[in-house]
Amino acid sequence: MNELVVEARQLSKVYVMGGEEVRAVDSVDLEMRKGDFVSIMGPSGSGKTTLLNLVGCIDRPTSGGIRLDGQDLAGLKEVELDRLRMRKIGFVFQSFNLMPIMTALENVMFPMEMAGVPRREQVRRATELLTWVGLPKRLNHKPRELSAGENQRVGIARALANGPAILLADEPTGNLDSKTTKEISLLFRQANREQGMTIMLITHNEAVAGVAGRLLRMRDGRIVSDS
Amino acid sequence: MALRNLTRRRTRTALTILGVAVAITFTVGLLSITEGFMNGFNMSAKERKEDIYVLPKGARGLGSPLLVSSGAEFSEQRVQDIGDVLNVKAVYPFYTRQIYFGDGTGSVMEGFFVLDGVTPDFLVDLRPSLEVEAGRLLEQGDYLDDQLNVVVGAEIARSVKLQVGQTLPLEVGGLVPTVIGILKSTGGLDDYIVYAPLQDVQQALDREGWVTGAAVTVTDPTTTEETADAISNLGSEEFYCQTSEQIAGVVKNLISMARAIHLSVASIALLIGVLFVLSTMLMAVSERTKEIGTMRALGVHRITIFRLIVTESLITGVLAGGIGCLGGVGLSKLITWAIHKFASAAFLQAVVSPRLLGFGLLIAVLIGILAGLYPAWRITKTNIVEALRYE
Repeated sequence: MNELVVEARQLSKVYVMGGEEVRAVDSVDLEMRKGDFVSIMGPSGSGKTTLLNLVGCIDRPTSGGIRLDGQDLAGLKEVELDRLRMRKIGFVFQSFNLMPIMTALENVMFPMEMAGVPRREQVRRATELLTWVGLPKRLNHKPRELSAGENQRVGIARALANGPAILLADEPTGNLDSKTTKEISLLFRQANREQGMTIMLITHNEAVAGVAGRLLRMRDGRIVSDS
Repeated sequence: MALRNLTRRRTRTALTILGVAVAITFTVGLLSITEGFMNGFNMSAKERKEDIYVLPKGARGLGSPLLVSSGAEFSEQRVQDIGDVLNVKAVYPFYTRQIYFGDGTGSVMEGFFVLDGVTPDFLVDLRPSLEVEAGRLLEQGDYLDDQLNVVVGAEIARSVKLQVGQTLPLEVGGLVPTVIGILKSTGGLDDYIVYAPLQDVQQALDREGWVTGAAVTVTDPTTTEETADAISNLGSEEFYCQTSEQIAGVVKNLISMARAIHLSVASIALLIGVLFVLSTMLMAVSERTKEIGTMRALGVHRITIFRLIVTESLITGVLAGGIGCLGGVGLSKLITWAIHKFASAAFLQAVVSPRLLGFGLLIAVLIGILAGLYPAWRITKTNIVEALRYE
């Protein structure tokens, strides 16, 4: 059996808004094994993004615990969480969040540069990844010179740069037209099938959710179905 | 990366750099006046051997050649009386006047210089360190020979492009001064003086029998004050005395005061510079909140981002410092030109020393670092989730 990449136990995140307690994530238990492709659907405010942020170590739970790739996140110092995100997590954002001053190649090299990968290796791997996402001729273009779909491809290549244990995508097709949405969805499936990448993907689009092998539905901070 | 970030908003970055550069330019420019004055005085003080200056009542200034010509003078007959005072070793009368030269076109060839009519032994006894670059010093034969032979300071010779044997572009009482010697540069006030035989100057100016002052040396330096009092008592209606030490003290006070004023200006420049860069950096990092949130999500530690922001601010400061220092050099030249042109003080000049340039750059670096600290601290404190939501 594949090893556990994500193991969340009684995970909760509680916010206080206007003096009232809001349970954004409420006692969630979740397991994801290596190679799992999980999509999460649910209405706005159901806790999808908060759950993704907790798994992605950019937010801390109010209670409960998470193990990521075998490592317990409880009690980790900020610098250790930074290192964990750099090496084990790849983020794909709805609005791409690429560095506007960098070319596609530099954007993909950036996480490797921060991780101390030698420059020659950075260039080799970034070129390889951009070729894999279908942008071999757009290496030296800046984000403003690329279409939305191309930008998201660069975003995916960047997320894969340091060979993460899991890819976390928050509505990655939210800003794309239907044709590009389909292409990007297939790219995620390709990453999952060809590279065995573990993926957690949030979407409002049933068709996008359909490319994943497992679908979680959330409501009021809880997972209400897991199929 | 920091450098590339600065090029995102080129106009804003350029304006910020320009603003700080102007502050540095004025700081360096103003401090160059103090620097020049200190330089000139220190160099000159080393060369002077006189212990007391005897100056006519009503004369403004601090001895020769710092004496600002006021038309005040006293009778040369009193020189003998001064020489008879106990403890006086020798008396060196002089007649000093500021002379306008130039062709009236307002060119750099125009200005004032100090014509110092002195006795033959004045330069030998009181300015022993003065050396000639070309020609010779004044000799006994130059006195009362129906010519006005002069020895010119290095800076005068340089600015008017004089050579030995040439004449100065002016007339003094109908006589055209002929250069017989050019002094080596001292870096002090003597570079701006034209020395001529006392009697010839008096004759040319039709002031025979009158002097604008006298330099006195004493046999016992411990009694200089008492000797000065004794000389003053000789003719309290005609002249008064200043000892070299008093002059040094007054000048030192003036320099300290000027320095304090200029440092206050520099502090204000520093404050304005910091506020200027601070506002730019706050705006710049606020616009990049989401981007910095992304960097944090990708695992970049907050210290790395802190360093990046401070480096951007520091680069702004250093660039502004470089431009500001260049501007300061230009401004000091302009100030020197203005002093010579409008203030009739040929011996004053603004000087930008390497130390002053270093100070200007240091201020710029401080502006860069100080202005970067708060925006860097603020942005790195922002929660990653909130930063990623920022629009």
